[in-house]
Amino acid sequence: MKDFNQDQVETHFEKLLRPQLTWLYRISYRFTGNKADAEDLVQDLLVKLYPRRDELDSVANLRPWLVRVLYRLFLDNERRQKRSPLRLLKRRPKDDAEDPLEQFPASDPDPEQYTGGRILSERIEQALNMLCRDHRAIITLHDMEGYRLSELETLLEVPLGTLKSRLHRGRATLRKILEKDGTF
Amino acid sequence: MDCRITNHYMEDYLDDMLDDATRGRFQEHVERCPDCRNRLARGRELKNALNALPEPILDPDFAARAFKHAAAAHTWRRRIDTSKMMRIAASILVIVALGIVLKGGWGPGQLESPKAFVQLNQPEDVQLVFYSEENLENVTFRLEPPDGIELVGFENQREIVWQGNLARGDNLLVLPVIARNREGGSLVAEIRHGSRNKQFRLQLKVQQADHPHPGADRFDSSVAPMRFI
Ligand SMILES: [Zn+2]
Repeated sequence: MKDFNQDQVETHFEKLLRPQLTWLYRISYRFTGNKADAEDLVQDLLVKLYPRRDELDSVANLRPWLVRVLYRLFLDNERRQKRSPLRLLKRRPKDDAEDPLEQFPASDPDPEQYTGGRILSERIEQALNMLCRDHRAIITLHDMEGYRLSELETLLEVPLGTLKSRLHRGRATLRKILEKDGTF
Repeated sequence: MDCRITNHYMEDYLDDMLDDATRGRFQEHVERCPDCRNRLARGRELKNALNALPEPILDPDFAARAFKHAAAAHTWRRRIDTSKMMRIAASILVIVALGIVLKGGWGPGQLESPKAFVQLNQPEDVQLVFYSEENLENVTFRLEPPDGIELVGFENQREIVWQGNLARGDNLLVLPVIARNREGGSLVAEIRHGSRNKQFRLQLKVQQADHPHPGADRFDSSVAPMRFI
């Protein structure tokens, strides 16, 4: 009996979210820039939402709600990765600083990778990957998914001015990268 | 409106964020200024190119996998939450110090294996300490967990490779690991710099979660710093 209920719950959860999966994956892919991380992000989202499935049921407009959760999760994951196991931490001498652990800056992407006879969309994806996460997120949601800035101000809880400056700087960086490699 | 002001409003114009009056003056200028027209065209070109990116294709079996995992992860988490006390006991760090003297001391040889104890199905941090005699840049790190042991956040990856730096002195690497079965095995950590490389093997022994090894013993058995020269 318990198993039967459990099955029903899962089916219902799946029924609600399955139609959103392609769309969630697309945004996740733009956020993260690669398949593995995009799959992980969508997976993390499902894991996070599973215990909240009753709440999910009462959400009238699912997509904006999902965008908000996905965006937060993306930022959290990025933060977690910064503390990540797989970056080497430098142990500083005791007298050096209050924080005993200092992180090494992540290595820059190799500019050599961005030249050559790639097709336009590949170049643009590469250029997107070179942006910081904030710029990538706003370009994804506004320029590609069509969310208005005023809408995103509420959804992401980021002031309009900040969103605008991220968007403008992100686009400027993209153009610079694409001009440099001769795409534009 | 001059070119400078037009430029200032460019992005807002593209996003349709200008009021009617400003938009009118913007358009007026653009109509008679080839430079600004050109800039506007490039702005549109970028937006169009972004919108023309091909849709990433989701693996057909991803949905089934992901929903199944979401339900399973929840069950697993709930179980962990009920054993909070146990987790506190288990959170004693297993520290393995691997001293490596990088200058001139690099050899292909296998090194003696230090041991660390982890518990079945519980995330635990294993800390590795690498000692380097000098600052080194562009060091390649490679980790290969044994079958049945996963690195949290990198599940299902049998090999993790990344680039980083080593600082002079002790360098700490924190690895959250989780044992999925009782097999254990050696975790291979390889450090490469230029043509030199050194490989370490850390023996991971898995214990039953309900029979925790006494913390002190675990600590003692694995804390001894090891220096490889
Ligand atoms: Zn002009």
